[in-house]
Amino acid sequence: MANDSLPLTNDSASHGNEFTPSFTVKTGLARMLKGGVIMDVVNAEQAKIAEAAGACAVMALERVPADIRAQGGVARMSDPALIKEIQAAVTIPVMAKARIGHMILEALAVDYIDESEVLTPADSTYHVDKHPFRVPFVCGCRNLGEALRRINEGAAMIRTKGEAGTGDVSEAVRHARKVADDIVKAKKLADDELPLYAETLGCSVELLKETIKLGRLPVVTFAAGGIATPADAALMMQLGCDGVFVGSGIFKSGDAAQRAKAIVQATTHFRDAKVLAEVSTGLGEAMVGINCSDLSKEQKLAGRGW
Amino acid sequence: MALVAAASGLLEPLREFVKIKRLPVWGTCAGLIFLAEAANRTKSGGQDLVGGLDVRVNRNHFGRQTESFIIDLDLPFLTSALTQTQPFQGIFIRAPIVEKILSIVVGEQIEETKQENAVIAPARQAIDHRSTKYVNAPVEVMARLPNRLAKRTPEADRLALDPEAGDIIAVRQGNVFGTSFHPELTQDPRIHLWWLKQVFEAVGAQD
Repeated sequence: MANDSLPLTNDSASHGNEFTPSFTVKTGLARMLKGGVIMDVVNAEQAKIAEAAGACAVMALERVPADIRAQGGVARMSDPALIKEIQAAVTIPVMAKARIGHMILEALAVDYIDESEVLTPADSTYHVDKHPFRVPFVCGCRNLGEALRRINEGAAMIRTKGEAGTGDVSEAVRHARKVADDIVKAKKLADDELPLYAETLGCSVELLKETIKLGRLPVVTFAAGGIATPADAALMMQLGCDGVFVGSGIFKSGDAAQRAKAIVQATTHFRDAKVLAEVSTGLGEAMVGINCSDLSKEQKLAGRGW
Repeated sequence: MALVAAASGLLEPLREFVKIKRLPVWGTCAGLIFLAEAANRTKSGGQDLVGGLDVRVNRNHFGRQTESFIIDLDLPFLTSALTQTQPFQGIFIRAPIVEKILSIVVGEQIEETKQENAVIAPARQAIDHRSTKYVNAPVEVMARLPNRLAKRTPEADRLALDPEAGDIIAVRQGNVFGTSFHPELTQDPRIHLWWLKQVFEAVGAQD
């Protein structure tokens, strides 16, 4: 409903005129994922564990962010064979990360593409023009301007960037709060002040007005980056996020299946302290964390993207 | 959805609402699957169904998200003598379809377990005469996809489909209603208004 004033995507020639894949179809899938947890997986076995734990979707990638950090080198899109294997293993939506290779992912019919700062950027000037694709895109943001720039390019879902692969949720909190603060500020402005504010943020005035009208980002917004415990997930939900991505947090922990279930429960019942206490109990070892404050600017992934 | 319902202790309360007390319920998309007595193409290890509609649904009938679409639908149940009916914008997102209307049986739809990767809902005894009447009501086909859409199904899947399979996208059995598509993602309130009227009339009939 809220998204109807957003730009429509191009029609797809491959299916003729009888179907009009519009922005509504792209944002619609994200709306079906609201309240859910999307888990990073690197193989079919992990995908099945995620599905059985109640994940609303999985994110296929070659290495989880914690390993990308540890191993270094150029982080690339997954091997298509791996994505196909994961698609065959589960019936929930399968997403995949790309900075380049999004056309390949579309050919594989992944359900969402994450234009992710976790992978090594290929274009230091532009983000992907996402409108022409049938596959919807999710993009990261640190503030309102960045979120609206991505939506303007065609992103049908937004997530915080956070600081992937650290197990430290503080950057995700910072980004979620910054978006909220920017919106609060925008709502106080008079109409004639909006063009200047939009210029400051680097976003379109139309999308800024839409955001003010809705009192939130005009697309589904998830938390991501550093979420490792049920408490982290609940905190992000309490801050107003529509759901959470968990990257390294699950399969870098002691008991992945139990932790995955616990994070799903915590995301569903994020205001119920009793449930949170129950699911947080006896989870075993969490992933080994890195404090974001110990990272140098060069080591932070969130700075990738503009 | 079923996993979260199960983990939150909601499956049995939902079955009580839908099948034992038989109160009005409408499900869209995954909700239609949840309300079906039988579903195929489920995940390995199956999934829980609430049941309530004697139909078999085919999950992700059209394929993955790249096959999701919007199409104008003619919905006969919205037509009334006084109003000119505009088409309804049907939003199909990784949508299921009602593949077959099942015959109404006492207990579970056991026959359906012969289908590959199929699951059925457990039987529950309706609480009283009114509930039993709704449970045993015939399944009405409320809407179908235009014929040209049948070809949307990939050929391999089409061959695997039940020969009796149809293109049914909305069904009602007494006071339980299901749609493959998402009226809640449109700004068009007509189906909601129609449904509220159905509920109002059903509740009125009880008094």
